[in-house]
Amino acid sequence: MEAYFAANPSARGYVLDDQGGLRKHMVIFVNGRQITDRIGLSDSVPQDGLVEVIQALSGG
Amino acid sequence: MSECMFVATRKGLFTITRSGKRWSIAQTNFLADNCSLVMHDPRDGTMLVALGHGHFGCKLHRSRDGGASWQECGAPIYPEKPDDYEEKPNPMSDKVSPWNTELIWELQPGGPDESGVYWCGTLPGGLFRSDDGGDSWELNRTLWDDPRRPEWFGGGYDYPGIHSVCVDPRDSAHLLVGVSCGGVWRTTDSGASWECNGTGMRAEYLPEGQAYHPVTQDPHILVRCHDAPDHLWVQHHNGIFRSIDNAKTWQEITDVKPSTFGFAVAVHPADPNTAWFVPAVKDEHRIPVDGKLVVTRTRDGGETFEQLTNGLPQEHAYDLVFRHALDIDETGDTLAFGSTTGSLWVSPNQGDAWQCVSAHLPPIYCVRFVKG
Repeated sequence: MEAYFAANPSARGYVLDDQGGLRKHMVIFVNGRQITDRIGLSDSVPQDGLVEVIQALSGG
Repeated sequence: MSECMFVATRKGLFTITRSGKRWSIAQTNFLADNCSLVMHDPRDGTMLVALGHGHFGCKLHRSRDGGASWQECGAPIYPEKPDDYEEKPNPMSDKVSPWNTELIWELQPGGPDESGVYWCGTLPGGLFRSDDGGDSWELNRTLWDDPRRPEWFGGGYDYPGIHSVCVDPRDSAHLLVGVSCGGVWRTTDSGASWECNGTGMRAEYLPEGQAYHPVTQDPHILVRCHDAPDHLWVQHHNGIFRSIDNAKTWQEITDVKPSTFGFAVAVHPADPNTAWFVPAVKDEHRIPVDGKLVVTRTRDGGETFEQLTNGLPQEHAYDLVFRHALDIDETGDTLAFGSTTGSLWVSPNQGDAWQCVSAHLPPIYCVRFVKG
C-alpha cells in the first residue's frame, strides 16, 4: 500500500483516514480474506499476495 | 444587484444566474457528489467547494475562473494523534472525538489584507487555516488543545463542529467562531489565543444553573453586519440572539411569530437592525409552522418582526432551511434561500416577494451570492 501511495499520493486520503486507518466504507482483502486490523493495517501479506481495495456498498 | 449565485447540494453544485428579472440554472458541477459547502472569495474570485464523499472522506476543489473549471486542492487533515494525548470523552455522549475530518462545515476568506488566507471549520471541532490559497491547511492547535473543548458536544451530529467564522473587517486578526455546541469563541491574535466569555445566550437543553454557560451554547449560525461590525446576529437552538458590542454580550429576542426556532439568519450588509430568519416549529418538530413557509424580517433590531409570504407556499410546505442556505447580496436587496426538499427561492426586494427558481433540486446545504 505504501508503495502504491508513494506513486499516487492523492490516493492515500481516499483510502485511509487522517490517522492512517482504513476508511469505514472501504475494505481490503488479502488473497480473498478480509483484513482484521483496520487501524494499524498490520495483517501480513504473503509474497506475491493479491491485495484488493474495495469500496463498500453503502451510500445514498 | 447580484447576477450569480452558487448552490451546494446533496447531489452537486449549481450555478444560478440572472437574466433580467428571472433566475435560472446555468451550470452544474460535481453532479451526484455530496457538496456540503461552497465559498466565493470577494478578494479575487477564487472559489472553494467542499465534497463529502461517503466512501473517500472530505475533499476540497478550487476554481479560479468563476466555476468554469475545478481542480482538487489540499483538504484539512488532522495531525497524527500523539500516543500520550488524553482525549477526554464528551460529557454528553461519552464519545471521544476522532482526529479526523468528518465534515467540512465552514469556509471563509481571511481579511482583505490577507491574500491567500482561508479559514475552515470542521466536525469534530477543528479549525484549520490555509496561507497558500487552499493548497495546504494547518489545524489551530491552541483552540483544539483548549481544556474547555471537551465540554463541547454534538447537536444534530455525533460530534461538535465549527460552522461560523466571522473575520472582523477592521482587524483581520480578530475572529469570532461559532461552535455547535460550544458557544462563540474569540481570538484577537489570529488564533494564537482564544476566549469564550460572551454572556446572555441561554441553553434551555441544560439543567437550571448551567443554562447560561458560554461554552455549551448551540449557536446554529453567527453572522456579522459588514458596515457595523460590532453588530451580530445568531440563530440559536433556543431562539434568536443579538449583540451590539462585538459578541461581548447577547440579548435574547423571544416574541417572534410564528417561531424563534430555525437555523439560518442573514443580516443587511449596511443596516445592522435589519435581519431575516426562516423559522420552523421548534427543535423537536423541524418543519414550517402549520405547513406554511415564511421568512421573518425585522427592521428595528428585533423589536418587531414581519412575516413575509408573497411567493412562498402556504399549505403543505415542509421545507427546512439549513444554516448556510440563506444569503444576501452586497446591495442588501437580493436574498436567496434553499431548502431540504430542494426548493430555491430568490427575492429582489428584501423578501417582499419571492420567485421559485426550482422545486426539484437535491437537498440544499449552502447558497452563496457572488460578491466583490
